[in-house]
Amino acid sequence: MSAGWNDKRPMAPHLSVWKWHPTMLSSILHRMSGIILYFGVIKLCIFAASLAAGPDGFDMLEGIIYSPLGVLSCFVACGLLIYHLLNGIRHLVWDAGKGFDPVRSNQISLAIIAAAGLIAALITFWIVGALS
Amino acid sequence: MSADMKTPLAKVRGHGAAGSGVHHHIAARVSAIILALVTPIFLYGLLTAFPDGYDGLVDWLSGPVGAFSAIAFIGAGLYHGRLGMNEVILDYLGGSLRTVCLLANTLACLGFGLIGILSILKIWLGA
Repeated sequence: MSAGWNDKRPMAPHLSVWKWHPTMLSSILHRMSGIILYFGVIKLCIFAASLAAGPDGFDMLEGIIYSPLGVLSCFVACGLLIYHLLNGIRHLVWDAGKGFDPVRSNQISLAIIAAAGLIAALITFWIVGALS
Repeated sequence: MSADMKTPLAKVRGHGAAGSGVHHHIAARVSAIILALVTPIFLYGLLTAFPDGYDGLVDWLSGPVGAFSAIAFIGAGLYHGRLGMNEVILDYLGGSLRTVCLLANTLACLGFGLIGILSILKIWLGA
């Protein structure tokens, strides 16, 4: 994929050759949400610095945070965080050697994705109500 | 000449771990457990303080629960994030780009972590 890559074996996660199914989707979503959350926590640190800089520092960000874009990113960030949290707990269950039944795994994958979306939607709905 | 019929797995079986894999695995799980405990408290505090703007957020971080959960979330989150991002870099990047990205990952997590934690300490201790 990049210069200097000399490993001839196929590169994970083999997106082009795998058949899409819920557990594969949840694995990819876990990595993807992890990468985005990484930058989310960095953003959170910058946000904390703007708070520590006093009301003037916060003013610079206030226009973005309390806008439709801010509400959208609240939904996306909460959804990814809750998804990564729930699926991470499932990873801990897997580490304990439990939960490998294929049919049940697929069902739980879909349930986790749905639950994360639903909880993020409820949080966003509540935030919009509290802001207006 | 006969072809080598051994699979790569068969060749490495019994030779033990390549390096620090066990530490990486355990460190990722321990930070994950900390995050699983702290995230609900942190998220609840952040979201309830959020609609009240600057004053609400400073009030939240001035209390021990807010300051503690925010510092724990940022600290454990960046530690966990650095481990995960390391894995992603090792999976997809090679050569000098890999080295640069691994270094940047560590520096970014340390640097932004310090910025975040010092900012929260300033608000908490200044209150």
